[in-house]
Amino acid sequence: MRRADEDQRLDVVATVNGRERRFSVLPRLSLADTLREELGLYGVRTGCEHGVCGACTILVDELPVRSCLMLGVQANGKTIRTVESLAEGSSLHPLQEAFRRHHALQCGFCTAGILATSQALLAENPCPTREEVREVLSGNICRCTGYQTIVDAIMDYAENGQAGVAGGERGPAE
Amino acid sequence: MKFPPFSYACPTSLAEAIDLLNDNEDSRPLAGGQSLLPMMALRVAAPGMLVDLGDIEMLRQNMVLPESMRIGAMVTHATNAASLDIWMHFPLMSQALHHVAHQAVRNRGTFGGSIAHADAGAEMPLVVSALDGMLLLQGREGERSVPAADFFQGHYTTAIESGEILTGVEIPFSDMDWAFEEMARRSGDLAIAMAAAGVRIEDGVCRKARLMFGSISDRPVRADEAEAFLIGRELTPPVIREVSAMAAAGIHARSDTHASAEYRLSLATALMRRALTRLATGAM
Repeated sequence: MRRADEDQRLDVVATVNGRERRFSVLPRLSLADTLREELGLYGVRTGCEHGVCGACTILVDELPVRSCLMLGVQANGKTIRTVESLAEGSSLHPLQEAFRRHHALQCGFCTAGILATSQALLAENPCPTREEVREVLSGNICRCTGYQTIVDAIMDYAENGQAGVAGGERGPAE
Repeated sequence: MKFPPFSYACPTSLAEAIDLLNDNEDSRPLAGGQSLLPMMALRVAAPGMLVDLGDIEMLRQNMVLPESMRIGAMVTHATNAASLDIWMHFPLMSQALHHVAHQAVRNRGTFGGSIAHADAGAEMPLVVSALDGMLLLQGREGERSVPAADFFQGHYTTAIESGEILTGVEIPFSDMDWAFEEMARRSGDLAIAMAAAGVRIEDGVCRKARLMFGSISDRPVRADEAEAFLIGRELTPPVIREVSAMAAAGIHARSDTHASAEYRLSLATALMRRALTRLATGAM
């Protein structure tokens, strides 16, 4: 049985952004903080830290999850993807390109979580309606753009994929 | 805020989990963590030990029985929302699951966790109450089952005794048609008001009725007088108007920061009217 006292670290093995990572964490550390502080993945954003804002959304076993509402110790054996898994070197993922093209971010704080949410949506439903995109985005709070351009970017990507995006070679829902 | 310190155990069997809960004062079961962890972050709860139920395989299964279905406590909302068995047997639950939080929360949040937490604004307590579910509780002394009507005792208060684990819910198949309606401040938020309506129509008249509200009071409430009124009547617009007002009339409604009692009652009437209108017109 995996077990640890409050001041005791527990070993975790997880596949993070395609690489096997081993680390040990105190039980009280959220997965969001584990990814940031233990693995240096600062693309994971912590906003409200109680599951309301969606900024910390990442993919766990390819499903979107609030990483502030999961413990680091619960990542054992899981496959985790953060926003760092998207771009290849200096070339952005076509979905990120679509966000840039449509000016779908202002301060950008919520963007990492919104990318995770939209990746999962597009994996399940490659041709969503605007309404479906809006419904899914209701779980991610953005305080500055009013969502219009975010929805535009996701729709553009869904409808045109990488068309018009120089250097993009990857399709949706990979 | 960060979670307060706690010790952690992740047992692989139910017996181990029950032992841990009984041997460690101030321990609590951790299901999906989508309600308990926020409460800990907000320092509303600070258990000394979390007993993670995530590795107990038997709690993750649904089972179709001859006249009922047993839904495992650790089955996630996302799994239930995608389940063909649930869609076929409990359309009320499938409808309600669309309103449960957001995808990222539904992927971790569990059926049993939501029920054991018993938030007045949550959907699953209303669903199991409307469908007459039996709540299955396991403790050191063995298993016992509690009907939903006795299980929910108030906001965050249930019949679960210390050291017991909710292992699942057995829900009998229903021969009624069901409709669910909810009002929340944004899609996925906790409900301000909910209505669940079930009817069995034969030869144009209502032979069976079940009308319940959620989030109006501190627990799911049943409108039995209104149910009795519906029996033998046709679901015409005037009847629906009258029965919806009657259903909401006798309820003691709660007030909080989101809505006054008066507003909740007016929503209750409107939501019940919508639910019954959908049932009458077959607009499912």
